[in-house]
Amino acid sequence: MAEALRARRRGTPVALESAMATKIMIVDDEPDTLKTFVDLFESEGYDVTAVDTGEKALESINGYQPDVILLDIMLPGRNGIEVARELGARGTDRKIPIVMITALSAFPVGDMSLAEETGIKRFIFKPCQSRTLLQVVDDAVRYG
Amino acid sequence: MPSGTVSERSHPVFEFVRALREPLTYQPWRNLYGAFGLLWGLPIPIFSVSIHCWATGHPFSLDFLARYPVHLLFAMHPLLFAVVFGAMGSVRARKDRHIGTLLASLQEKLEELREANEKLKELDRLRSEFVANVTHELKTPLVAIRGYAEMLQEGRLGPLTEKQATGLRTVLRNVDRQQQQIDDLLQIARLESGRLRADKHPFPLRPLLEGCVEMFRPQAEAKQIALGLDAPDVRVNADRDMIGHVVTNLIANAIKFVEPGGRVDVAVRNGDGVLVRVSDDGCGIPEEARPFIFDRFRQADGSMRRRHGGVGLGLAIVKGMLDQHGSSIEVTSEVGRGTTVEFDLPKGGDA
Repeated sequence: MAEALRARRRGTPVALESAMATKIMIVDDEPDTLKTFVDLFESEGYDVTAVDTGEKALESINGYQPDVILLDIMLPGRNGIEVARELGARGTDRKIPIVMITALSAFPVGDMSLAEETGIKRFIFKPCQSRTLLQVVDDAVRYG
Repeated sequence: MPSGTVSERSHPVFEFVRALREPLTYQPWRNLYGAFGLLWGLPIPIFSVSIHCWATGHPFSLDFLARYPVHLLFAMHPLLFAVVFGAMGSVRARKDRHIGTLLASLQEKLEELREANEKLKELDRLRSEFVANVTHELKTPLVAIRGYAEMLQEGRLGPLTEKQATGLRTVLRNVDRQQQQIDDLLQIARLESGRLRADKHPFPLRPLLEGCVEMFRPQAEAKQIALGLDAPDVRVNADRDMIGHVVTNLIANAIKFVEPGGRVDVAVRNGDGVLVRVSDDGCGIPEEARPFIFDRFRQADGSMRRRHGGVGLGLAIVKGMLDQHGSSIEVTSEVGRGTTVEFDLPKGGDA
């Protein structure tokens, strides 16, 4: 990641940079929150795609093939849990680790068996320290 | 004998008794028992008088009754039947009707209770949904505020001057405070609605207390307050997170109200239960404020709130959490001398 950051500052060609940068898809319906996370992860050297609904995420995921997904729970239309379920059901996307994030005070997840069938690897509450968020996402990418 | 009890129970007498013992429905025909009495009783004296007349050769007339009063008794016979039967019937009917009305009103009340219960459940659901939504909405703006403040502070968006860095530290400190207050509000709401329950397991108390004390060490040192811990190795049976929260809250409170140079002590006494004590030599709680210290949103006076911050939820949460453990909290305080807060926890078995 640090190399990617330096590469960006040096002005390394985009193609080369994106080849080494970790690809993250951020799904959040709150524009300011989305922008905050996009700026945070871009400043950390990630290759970021941001969408504001679960449907758009499901649509664009095959084209983008992210290494990790940061998925909000309270989304208009299909909520984050449903999106994660759908991704899990697709089979091919099973390997993409998902980090669920929410401003709710408890995750509305009945049982943790959900994590196995959906690829949800980490849970984190908003608002959290940027350091914590980066650490959690990085862990999810590294260790699944 | 194939089955004695069954044959006994199906005997008409038992049927009759059982019928008597089932007064659950109103049977209006019981009001006609009097008429039945007449029907039963009337033929008997008529029959007996006519036999008498036939045997003695008297003509059959009403004069006969006047002459022989004994036959008057016979003539009264059906009336007696009617009165007795009628009384039995109507008493029985009235009793049945009474019980029937009682049952009906009971049914009605039950229905009302059920409806009220449903309504309460719905209200409770709405309330918790409301709390969840409100805290979600309160927290959402903090994401962007905290996110950008941290990015600025870490220099991700360019270099900062010293003044700007100081300003950002203030912003972040206040974001922390806001977040803490939202969490407190949420916690009190969950405690009150009974959704937050103690999950009790035996655990060693000392490491937890050490963690709590160390967490406040920098803050205490910055304010030149001595922070002491005196705890033997004991295990308690309690919710670790909740007790951590309780102790943290109490220490934070103590530090808040102790002047620089004072001290705050956390001590544990091992007796029947485990007694935890947090004491300070701060300003103390004025007599008139003591009854209210566990109320929500109360501090000794408004100026204190301005000086020390907080919305006054801390002790309400502490009390709620200790209630969950069935343990009582005791506060002794002397103005100008300090405050001591004590609570007991059940001992925990070996691991």
